[in-house]
Amino acid sequence: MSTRATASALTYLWLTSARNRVLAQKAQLRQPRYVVAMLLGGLYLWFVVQANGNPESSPFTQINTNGAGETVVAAVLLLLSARWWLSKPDRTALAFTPAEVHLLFPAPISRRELVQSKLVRGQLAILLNVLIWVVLLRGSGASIEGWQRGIALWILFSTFTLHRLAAALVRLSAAQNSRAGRKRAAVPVLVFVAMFGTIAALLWQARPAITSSWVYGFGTVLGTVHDALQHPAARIVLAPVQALVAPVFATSGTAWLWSLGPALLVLLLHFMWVVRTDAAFEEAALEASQERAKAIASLSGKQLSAKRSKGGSVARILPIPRFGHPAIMIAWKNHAAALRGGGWLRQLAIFIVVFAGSLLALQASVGMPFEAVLSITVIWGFMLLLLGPVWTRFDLRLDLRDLGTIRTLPLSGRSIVSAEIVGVSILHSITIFALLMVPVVFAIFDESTRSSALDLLGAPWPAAVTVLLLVPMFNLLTFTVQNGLALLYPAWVQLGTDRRGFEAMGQTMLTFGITLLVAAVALVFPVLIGLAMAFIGRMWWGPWSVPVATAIALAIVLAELIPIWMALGSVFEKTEPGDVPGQKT
Amino acid sequence: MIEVSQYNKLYGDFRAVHDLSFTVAPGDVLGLVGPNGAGKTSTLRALAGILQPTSGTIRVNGIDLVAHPVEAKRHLAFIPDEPQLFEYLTVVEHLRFMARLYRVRDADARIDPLLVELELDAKRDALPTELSRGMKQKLAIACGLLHDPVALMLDEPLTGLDPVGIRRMKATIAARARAGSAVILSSHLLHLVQELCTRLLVIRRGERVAYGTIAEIVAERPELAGMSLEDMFIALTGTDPHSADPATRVDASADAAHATTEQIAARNE
Repeated sequence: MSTRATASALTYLWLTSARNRVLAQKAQLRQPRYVVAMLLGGLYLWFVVQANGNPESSPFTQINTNGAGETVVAAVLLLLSARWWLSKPDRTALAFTPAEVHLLFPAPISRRELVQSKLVRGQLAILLNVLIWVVLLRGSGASIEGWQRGIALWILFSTFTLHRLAAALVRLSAAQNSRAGRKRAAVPVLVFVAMFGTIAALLWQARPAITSSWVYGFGTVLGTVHDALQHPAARIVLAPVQALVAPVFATSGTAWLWSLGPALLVLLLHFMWVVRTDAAFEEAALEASQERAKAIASLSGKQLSAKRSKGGSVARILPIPRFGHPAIMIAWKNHAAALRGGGWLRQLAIFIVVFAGSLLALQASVGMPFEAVLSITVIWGFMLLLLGPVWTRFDLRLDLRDLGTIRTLPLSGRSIVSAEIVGVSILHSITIFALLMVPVVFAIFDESTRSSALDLLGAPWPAAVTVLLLVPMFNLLTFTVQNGLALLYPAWVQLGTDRRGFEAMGQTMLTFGITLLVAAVALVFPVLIGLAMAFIGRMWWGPWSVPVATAIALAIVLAELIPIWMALGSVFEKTEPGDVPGQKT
Repeated sequence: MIEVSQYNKLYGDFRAVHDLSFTVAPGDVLGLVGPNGAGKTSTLRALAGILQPTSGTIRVNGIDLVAHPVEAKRHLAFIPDEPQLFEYLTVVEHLRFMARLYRVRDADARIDPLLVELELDAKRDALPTELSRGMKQKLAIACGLLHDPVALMLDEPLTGLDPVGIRRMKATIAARARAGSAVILSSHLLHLVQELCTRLLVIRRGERVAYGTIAEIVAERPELAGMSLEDMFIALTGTDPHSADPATRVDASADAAHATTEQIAARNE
């Protein structure tokens, strides 16, 4: 098939797929709940734009003092991309859909054209997220027009998509093609490792200044990091990323226009790199086309894939509970998924070790007081509390794709929904508790911090009990919202455990915002009652009035949630596999 | 016992199933046949509690599936054409999971013989990703049989099985029926239907076109007398393999039954 014919066929595929996708989404609007959601979503976006209307409140004005925001964002993006080079090859970047494998791979289409088609297909997600980010970041207070920021974001997202694909191709080439492949891959791998190493080393060097700047606020921290990255080596390393970020941070139309050229150049270079890498890969590839199709088909596997250890054993899971309602088995099954497919325990262990190690290193180098350890822990714990429901997805978001199977089980909808939410809330609460153990251990084993810890906490046991109650309470709320959204709007919510890349951040931010908003509203009454109880109870129970008040607030939250779970159970019973995209059946 | 009365299923304006009524008594094996898009899957999925009927009633063991879904589901098992398994549970963990859900008290005593019966005992600690298509199918069947369902529904149960597996599967279905289960078997393999089923339900475009034993169907439609099951299927569903119109072309398997209706009726009696 000629290149023109291929391009025409693939363009047709992309355009008709995009059109049909839009029509399918439009068809959802026949259901009132989707219309209501769209109206609420519109209101939310309008609110966000209005809130962003003051030039002084523009996030760019706030964080980009002296270009600090631009530099820090560039460094963060560079360090985030390190995982594509340093961890195992990111095979999901090369994933094709089963239909593409079955229909396109045996077709007379070159591999280069296949890669290009994948890039074009990815544009839909990129454009959607550009739109969301433009709305979120724009507002009348923004320094440049929305369309200008849209173009800037498109360049940024597209370049990183290309970079991810290039990294995957380079590393796959090295893995598949013995010496020649490794030789070709060596140069880019070494270059990028040197780049990451430079930035990491400079930041490590500046860690005392960064640590001490925490007390002056986030802006000062940004400024300190910015200063650390003014080293000539860092400026060279960050130059390409900064070129990409500059149009997003541009403060005027002229600045935007000037910054556009270098950004486009970086994008173009990435495109050429991907195409050339692909050509090199093609030359080196020894497999027959069918074998290659099979190999790449296997790359499209889901993130959740149970694995055996090298010793041949599967990860251990919790024993089956012998008593209690059969719905417990739903939670048990999801915990098994987390332990086996999601590597939850391994990730948790790594997280705790890294966290504890960082704290130890900081304390050893700058003698960090317990107050600082505690504040860092609280910030981390709070972030986990907020972001957990977005990332921990072993609940209905996992099971809705198996709706055909789950629906045959002898369980009521409300039992299933409750078990899904309670199960994942327990799992995530354990994650947070495990993290919170770090400062407790610090306080126990470090003589110098023990007294200050007790002073700070006042009464450690009431404080501990309060946290024990607060964390699950908040998790139950936020996971209810996330699961409710998935159940009510399965066509609009990302299902499964696959965590898409940065291009999905816009969608994630929207659901995150909605979750916080709903949780905040749901917490108003319990918090008011809890505060009143804590205030009144002080006279009788002293510091124990706080956990007592928290327990009462938790009871109120449960009283709010149980009718919601019942309502969601009713929705679950009415939801049919046809309503949920991506069904396995 | 499975009783379906005036079952209707609408998808928007599209009527997938229209006023379908039938009964499957204990020990009966009902063959559900029809061309693609006839509404077989919609019917089976409704019987399994996956789809909600738009109207009509479905009773399993006398329990209304819509009014009391949990109680009704305890008595039934649905084995889909494509085995749906949890990727992160091993073979034996799947069975223990199902045993707990269906409140099977003597689970351990049942699991081992079932694994042996379905030739899964050597794979008891394997994950679904490590099983062949046929093995996955066997596991799905084992999960369905573990709680001794009163109503058993199978959608193309032989897909992916090897010849020995096919023979064992057929024996298993027959044994379950003999033990008193009401079985519904949906398949395009007419020889399987012919071999196992005591009654036939032929549907086309969501409507029942024939129902009963072969003798009852022939008594109602004398023009079918002497026809093979394949010819009967074509005559009843109005599908013609040689037709120019793809919509009326039959997609039954090439190895469809050729025994005449008299032979089938004689065997079933």
